[in-house]
Amino acid sequence: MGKSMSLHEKIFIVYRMMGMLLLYILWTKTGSDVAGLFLLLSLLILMLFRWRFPKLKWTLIIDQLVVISISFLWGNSQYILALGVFEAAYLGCPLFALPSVFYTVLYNPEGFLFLLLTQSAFAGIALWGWSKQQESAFRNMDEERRRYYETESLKQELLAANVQMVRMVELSERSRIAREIHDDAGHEIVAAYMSLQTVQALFETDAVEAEEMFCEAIERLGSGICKIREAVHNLTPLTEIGVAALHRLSDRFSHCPINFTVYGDTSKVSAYLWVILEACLKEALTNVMRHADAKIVRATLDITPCIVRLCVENDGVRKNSYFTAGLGLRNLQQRAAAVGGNISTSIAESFRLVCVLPIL
Amino acid sequence: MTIFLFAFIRSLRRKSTLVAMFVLPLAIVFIRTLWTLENGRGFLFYGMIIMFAAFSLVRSIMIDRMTGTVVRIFAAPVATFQYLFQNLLAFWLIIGVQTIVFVVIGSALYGWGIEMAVRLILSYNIFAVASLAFSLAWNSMFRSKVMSDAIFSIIISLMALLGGIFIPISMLPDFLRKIGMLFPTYWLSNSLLFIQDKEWNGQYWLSILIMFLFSAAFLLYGSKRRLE
Repeated sequence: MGKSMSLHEKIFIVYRMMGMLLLYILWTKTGSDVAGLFLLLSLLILMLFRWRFPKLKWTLIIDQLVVISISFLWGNSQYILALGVFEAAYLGCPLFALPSVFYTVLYNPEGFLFLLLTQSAFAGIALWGWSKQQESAFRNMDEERRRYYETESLKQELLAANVQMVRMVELSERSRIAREIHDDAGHEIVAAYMSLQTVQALFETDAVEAEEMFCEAIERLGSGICKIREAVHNLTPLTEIGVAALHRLSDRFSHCPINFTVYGDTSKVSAYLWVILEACLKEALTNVMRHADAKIVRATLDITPCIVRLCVENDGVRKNSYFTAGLGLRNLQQRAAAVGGNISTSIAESFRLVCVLPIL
Repeated sequence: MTIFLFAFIRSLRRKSTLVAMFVLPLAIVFIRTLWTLENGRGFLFYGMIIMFAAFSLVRSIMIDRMTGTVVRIFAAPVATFQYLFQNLLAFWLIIGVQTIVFVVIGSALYGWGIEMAVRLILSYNIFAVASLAFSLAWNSMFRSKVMSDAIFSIIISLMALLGGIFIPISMLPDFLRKIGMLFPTYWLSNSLLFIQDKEWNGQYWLSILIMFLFSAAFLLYGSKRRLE
């Protein structure tokens, strides 16, 4: 099946059909036997021809030439020139209407025909304008859709890049820690270890020197320990991350009592998962504040070797209410999907939001 | 010309076609009263037989479209033009051969003479093309066979009435005559009238030209590629 016709195309066809019908009625009312029928048939054939081969617009000139030549046999046929002018205007090629214009100027400069042609030209131009407008509207819609899809895919890429970046940061941080321990504290401890080995050998032969070296070794060890302590101190982050951030969120929630419990080993969860879990809890608590008349909120964090699951429940479900995911929740769902997890909600007896993320 | 060959064989296999093509014309060609030149109803009846034959032949194109055969055909490197042209050529050939056989028998029985026979064959053949094109255009408008048949039977009786099959066209009022002129049957009657009167003037050729124009219009409308 072909594409469906738009309204202006339908109006175009109806307009032409009306023209043909009027010509037919004119033909039945005024004498002219065969010339009129010949004209009707030729116009019909040319019309169908342009319908089958839309690119051959120049055949409009043949239309008008046929009408003009028949008009010498049957004068009334000149009025159908209006149809040619209309079609030329609609197809956006006004030059093809020139034969009609010449004919009118030469044979019928002031009369009904002139009026009719002007009216048809205006009708055609109006339809042409409409079709152009629709075309540009469709183009804009396509453009908009393309932009939307681009934004969506960019978002997905950013989310994926986020996960990767967190891993990169972790790795570079780990190598920095390794380097710091190796370069500073490591050297001191190795030196102390070697001194102590020498001390062990010297004990029997030279006690004085052994004691000297022993003190030196202790000094080195002290300095090593100091450097380790320094490194650890430098490595400790100032902002709270991980489960501490979740605890802080629940502690600061003052809208209603909240019961936050954690099961499992929190050290197994990577930083980029904590970011999502934190956002998730924040979103859930915001929703409780905005939409629910909750008496108590229960939040549970379960960590197994393979997944981490955050469940936030509240008892403030309104009667006859239905739930659709808002923008914040949809964003969260996309972020969870980007790390291979899932966020789902249910409003059976209590409102419940469950976020499950895999631990890779 | 594979499509042509298959269309030809396929058409000859159908019983309805065989009856319309060979039994009916032979049945009426021997009824002597139909073929007097003064009241030659037989010439027009034969025109109607051609019309029905064309409709039942073109039916196979519609069946192709309904059953999806046409989709499989167009999967091969076959253009719409080739498909339609070869099919219609096969149908036309069948009707053409039958017309020649019919006119030869008629000439032998009633002494029509060479010139009249040639003109009859030309008239009937161009009418056959117009009928085939009309049936093609008609069938392209419908999606169901039943619907198409039902409305076609109404249209064809209208065409027969206004085309001078039952009432001579000279007896029709002017208003009805001008409606009748919109159907090819009117022009067949017109041309046959001038053949029967043995008046070889421009009116005969005009009828042929108009039937030709009708064929062109119907072909243009019916040949739009439609896959369903």
